[in-house]
Amino acid sequence: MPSMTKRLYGVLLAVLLSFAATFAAHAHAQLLKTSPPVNAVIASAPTQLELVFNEPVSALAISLILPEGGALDLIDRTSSGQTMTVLLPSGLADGTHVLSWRAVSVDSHPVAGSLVFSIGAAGGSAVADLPTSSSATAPALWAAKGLLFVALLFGAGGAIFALAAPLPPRGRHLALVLSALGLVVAPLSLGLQGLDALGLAPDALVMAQSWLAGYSTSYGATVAAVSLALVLGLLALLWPAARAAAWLVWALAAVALALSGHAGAAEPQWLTRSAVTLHLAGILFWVGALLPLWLWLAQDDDSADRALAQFSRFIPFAVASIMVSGVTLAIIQLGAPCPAWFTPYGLILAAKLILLAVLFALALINRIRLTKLALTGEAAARRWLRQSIAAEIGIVLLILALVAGWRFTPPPRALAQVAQAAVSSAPLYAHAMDNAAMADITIVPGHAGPVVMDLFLTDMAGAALEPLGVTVTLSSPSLGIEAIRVDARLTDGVWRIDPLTIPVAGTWLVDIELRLSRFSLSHLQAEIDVPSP
Amino acid sequence: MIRTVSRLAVALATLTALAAPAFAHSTLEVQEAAIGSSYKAVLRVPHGCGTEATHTVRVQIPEGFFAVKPMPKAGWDLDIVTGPYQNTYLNHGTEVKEGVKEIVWSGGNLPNEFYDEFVFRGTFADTLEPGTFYFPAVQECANGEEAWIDTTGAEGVDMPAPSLELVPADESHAH
Repeated sequence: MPSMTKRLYGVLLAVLLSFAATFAAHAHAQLLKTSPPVNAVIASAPTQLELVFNEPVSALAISLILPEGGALDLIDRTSSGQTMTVLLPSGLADGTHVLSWRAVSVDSHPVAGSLVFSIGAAGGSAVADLPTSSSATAPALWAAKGLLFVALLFGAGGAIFALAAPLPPRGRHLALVLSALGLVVAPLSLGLQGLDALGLAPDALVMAQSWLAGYSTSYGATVAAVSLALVLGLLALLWPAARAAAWLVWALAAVALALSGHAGAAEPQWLTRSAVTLHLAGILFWVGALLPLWLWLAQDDDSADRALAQFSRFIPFAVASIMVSGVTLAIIQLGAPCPAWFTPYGLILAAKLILLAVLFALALINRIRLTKLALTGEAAARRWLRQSIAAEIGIVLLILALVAGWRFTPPPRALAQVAQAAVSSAPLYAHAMDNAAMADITIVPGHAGPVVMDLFLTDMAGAALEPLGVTVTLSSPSLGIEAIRVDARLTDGVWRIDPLTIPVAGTWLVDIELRLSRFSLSHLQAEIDVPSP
Repeated sequence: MIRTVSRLAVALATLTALAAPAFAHSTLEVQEAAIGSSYKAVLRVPHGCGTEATHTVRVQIPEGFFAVKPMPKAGWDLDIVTGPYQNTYLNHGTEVKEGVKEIVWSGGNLPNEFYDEFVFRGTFADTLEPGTFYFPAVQECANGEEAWIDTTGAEGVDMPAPSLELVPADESHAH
């Protein structure tokens, strides 16, 4: 239709013209002051940040780079005008934050910059914190997590096994009781986790702060998912019509434990998280079947045979998934053979592997010899099988008690990162030059965080250069952080920037602007790879 | 009727967006000149240093622009700094080996809310090559300065020096 095409052309023309207009315009507003001031260290997290300009601006992109490395998009919480106000979310962690901002003045040329500030203490991208806990909290947390695992695996596991074969009446009751126990322990473990994270004693459980701290860690998501799984499991056990809900229980419980913990946090995430999920899925089936089978085998009837046959049919898949995922996770967590294998983490893993070996041996004997005999009705075989299953239950309980302790032992992978950090505190050096001047750049310490940058300036012949002023601009387009601009001060023949905060590790572009004389300016540029602390 | 009016409004808006020149950088009013011709430089100062008033404006006269005469401004003191030229130029038959190297208007008061122009005349030497010609300028305020001295010509620099395009003599219209 002619009018439509005309309209379309009109819009296209307007768009093209507006692009042309942006090429012509080149105005910019100036940042006069900020609240908090640049590089400030504030005791507690502020509620808002203010940037005051000399003319009204509109915000284009506002993001807050966090000390632990992620970034929050805060454009929706920013109000424009001569003072740009950014409302900060609550719950900001301690450490160095960077507000990377981009705005446009009335005349449409963008201005950008970065506001660096620290909460509590200045610190660059955080390394995995080795937990320090009070001596009473740690055992309490360990016990709570162990109990939670037991409740989940035997309680929800029972509901899952009910998908394959009906549960004996006592088995159903036990599963119900364990699930209910799990629902009580889960929130308690969350509070204890918060205490552990904050380093408090158990009597601080009455403080809301501990619960909030626990919830804000990744463990909060795990507890939420586990609780939901337990509730659904209870429903599935109580009402036969809701039996199919056990599929959802299985999925939820398997994913829940992948949401937190060391294993799921390693790289590559897609591999480790799915490995943990698979590991748990297999375990849920196997362990969930143990109690019902033990109870069934006490009686000699068709339902018992059916349960045994169904278990025998599906268990190979469960064991296969457990072994494959377990091996994958162990390789990733341990890394190459090194002394770190003998850390507490490694020792717990060794103990777990020994117990698993015994478990698999028992399971193998059950499968190869005893199951067939028990199915044909031989009483002795059934007795042996029952005792073997009882032994398996015991070993599983031991393993669960062990793995609950992994909370307190960093895997070798994390220890390796800490070791590497110690090496990276040596100073960083870089050299920049153009056809008239050279600069030697030294950054101490040589990693992200609060640093001191020294510049030694010479001309091409090596004689000292004496510019009127030196301004350094740090930017990192790859990290999405707008420029941080600071003036250097001449101290003892060296131009020094102190303090300077490099907020995040990565590749940074350093631009040194030398005011050689009243009318002449020179730019020297260098690229520096800054490691994390 | 409404459609026509709105189209007209859009057209006007885009035209003004195009026509409105840069108004926060310090620039020259006429941005083209012929090599060998005389040129009246009008340096526009659209704002102060942040919010402060400008009290001094200094312009550096680079090599190749000679026979320079600044225009006095009421309320401002006008000074010139002379020095030797690197080359010798012919000014209406007379050889010139030295001349104005810097112009300083000082002692004035141009608040940030107001705009002013600083004018000087000169001639571009025949020996100059076509391209961008810069007049580095510095505005000084009570507690700072705006140094329009970046002559790299790169896109998006913060403080570009006021500049114009020099074109070969036969191409331009003005003299």
